[in-house]
Amino acid sequence: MLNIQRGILNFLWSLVGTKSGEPWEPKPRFSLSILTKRVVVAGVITIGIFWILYSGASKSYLFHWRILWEYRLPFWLGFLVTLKVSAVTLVFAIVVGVLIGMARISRFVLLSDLAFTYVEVIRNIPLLVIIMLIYYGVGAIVPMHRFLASVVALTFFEASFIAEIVRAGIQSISKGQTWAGRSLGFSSVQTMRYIILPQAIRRIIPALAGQFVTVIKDSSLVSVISLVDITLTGKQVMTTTMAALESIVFIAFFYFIICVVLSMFTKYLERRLPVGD
Amino acid sequence: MIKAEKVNKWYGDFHVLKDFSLEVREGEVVVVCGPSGSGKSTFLRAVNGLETVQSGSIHVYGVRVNDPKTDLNTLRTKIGIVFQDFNIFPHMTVLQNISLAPIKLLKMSQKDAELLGHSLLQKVGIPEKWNAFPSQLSGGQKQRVAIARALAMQPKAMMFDEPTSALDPEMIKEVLDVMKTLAREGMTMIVVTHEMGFAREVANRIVFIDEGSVIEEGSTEQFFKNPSHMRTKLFLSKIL
Repeated sequence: MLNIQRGILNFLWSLVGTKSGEPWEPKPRFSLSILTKRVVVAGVITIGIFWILYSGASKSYLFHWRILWEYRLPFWLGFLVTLKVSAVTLVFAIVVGVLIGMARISRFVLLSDLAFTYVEVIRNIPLLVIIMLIYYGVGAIVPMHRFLASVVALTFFEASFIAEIVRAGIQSISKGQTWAGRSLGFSSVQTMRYIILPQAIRRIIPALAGQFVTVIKDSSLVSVISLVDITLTGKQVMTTTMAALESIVFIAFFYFIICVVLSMFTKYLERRLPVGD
Repeated sequence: MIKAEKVNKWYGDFHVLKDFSLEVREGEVVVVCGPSGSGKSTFLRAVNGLETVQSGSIHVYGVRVNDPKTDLNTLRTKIGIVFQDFNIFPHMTVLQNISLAPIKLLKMSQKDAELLGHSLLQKVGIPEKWNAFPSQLSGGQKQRVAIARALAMQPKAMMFDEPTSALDPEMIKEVLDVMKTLAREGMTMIVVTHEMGFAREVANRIVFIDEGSVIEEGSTEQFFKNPSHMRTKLFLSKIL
């Protein structure tokens, strides 16, 4: 039994091709790059599963894909809202996140304690709850538009993750670099500016690009305060036309395509920005 | 010029420097040796304030290092330090590594700083590498860039923290040669090293330290021919 399992696993591994070929192993007859191979395998598996589900569902559910086309305008507007919320959030979250990340490693204990508290509090509350807290809670004191509330809530949330990315990026630069800078006579701020940050940024940027993917996915939660992003548009189409599966499948597909493209861009950045040494 | 008196430092419970005293005069080349963990590197870093000490005093050119009122940034421009693992800036070319500090701190023009950089590269024997990135250099070349970078600030003294310990044997000589040239030009130097050949050739004085304090201190000749402590003899017998 165990052998069969191992056999199946080995077969799957050989499909995905993650085992890097050792130089003494014979080369495969035709060699696709590992990435292409993976994309093909993932595509085949996804389409297969989709087809099984689709044919299963078709027995009891009649698909009307045309409805999606009829609602192309609302979907387009929803897409623009999603994009706008995500992009604006990312800009603010990077600014706030970088500041908090720097505060986190500050020599001033009060500052680093504050940043630490912020990160830990925000990271341990679900985003959905934060969105409601901001819109209903803070909104009760300072009335704000849904869009603003969404951006504020998402910014708070994502900034705490970006702060950790920034902190980790800066701390990953070896202590010797700081010593070298300080020993030449640079102040700690100058050392940070000329020596540590330029190196840290190369490690931070790919992670930030990855965070953008997360922001886009997380932004789907703002539908809870009735901001008409693509997710809420889908929900509305679902309820008005009863074309529930079409709409939800379309949205899943939509997020998937955007996020896959962005993740590939992230991988590309990782390869393009090597940190020397 | 550099004077440490009864310096004590602890890392938690670990007593790294115990009543450590050492004086280095202008133009002197002092080699510091001793087993690893004896506090040699910590002492060098304490001299330019990269490490704080808990008691005692360190004076550099009459300025007290371990005094909160001292402008350490200005003081550090007067002493260059070269590290065991080079610590050159991987995101800059060789020339940028060398010219960064003169441009930003001495307010030198870009052109002058680059001229200075080229002449220092000439001096350390790799003028053709000015436009290379550190990842394209060998260890010995990196260390020579590090020396040139420190020299670009025109320091009055240079400290070397085991500059050849991370190098392949064939690269050690090229680094030591640069250091010898510096010594001959009259640079004040404190060199932490186990290269006893180098010590014999250029050191005016050798200091042997163990467990955070100076065990033996004497002229180079006396140190090799006639060490007075058992501990020194034992150490020499192991490394010579």
